[in-house]
Amino acid sequence: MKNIAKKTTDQEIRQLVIERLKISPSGKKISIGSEGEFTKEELINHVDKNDNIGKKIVDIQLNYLQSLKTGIISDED
Amino acid sequence: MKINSVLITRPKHDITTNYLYYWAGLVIKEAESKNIKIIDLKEKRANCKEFTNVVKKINPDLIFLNGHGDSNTVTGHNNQPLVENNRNESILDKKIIYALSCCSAKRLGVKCVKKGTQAYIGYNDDFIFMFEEDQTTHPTQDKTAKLFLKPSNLVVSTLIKNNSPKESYNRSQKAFKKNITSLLSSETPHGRKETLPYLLWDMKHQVCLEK
Repeated sequence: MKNIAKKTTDQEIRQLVIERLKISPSGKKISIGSEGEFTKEELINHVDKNDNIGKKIVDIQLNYLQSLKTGIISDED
Repeated sequence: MKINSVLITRPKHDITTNYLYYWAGLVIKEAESKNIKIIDLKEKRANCKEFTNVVKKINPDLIFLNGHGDSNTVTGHNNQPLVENNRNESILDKKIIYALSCCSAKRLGVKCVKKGTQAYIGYNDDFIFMFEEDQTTHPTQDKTAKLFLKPSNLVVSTLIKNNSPKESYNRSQKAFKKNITSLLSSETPHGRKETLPYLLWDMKHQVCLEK
């Protein structure tokens, strides 16, 4: 039961990231070092496949959402 | 901390290195205006042999590395290694390094500082940036890429004004943060806010390693 719950959560997170990527405008690409440059459609595909690039994008998006929650960004020096 | 000479490596063999190449060009102009000696290893000259010769002959105070990399390596033209962990990292002894390259601060930078590099500013994970597809022939006019590469350039711009590595790192961090907070405002048009996760990522993974 625990494994099924975890799997569902991971899928939900990936779907959340995909939805966020979908609403971003076209005409821009993302450079991920030597991995190459990717359109939003390509990123969505990688997230859907859950490969290394997809996992990286999920990591970046989750890190950002968590930072919004914890207020890290708005802290002034 | 007076910087008298800067060695810059800037390959240009794909879209990513093309952006880094032109943005590093802005720093070169700035340094030249301050009469700082610049050694510009660009395109095919960004190779290990020329790099090694120049470092030994000129002994530059600051080395600005642009290119691909991983946790153990920074590369030059056609992704050929320039500096590698456990091979030639001692060539960076006593220098200040800014590596605009993925992940190299994770292991290579740590090892360099252990072996005598004065300071290693870089990234301990991928350096990621967004750019506009219709601006790839004019990288320095790309307003989306500017959000990432201007704060990055600030590391070197601050160093050549004789500030410490730590101060240079701090100013770059502040510039990333300023872009982030500005983009968070409600007036920011749709289409620019999607840069936020990547800007935050770069800011968090930029590090300044010192003895």
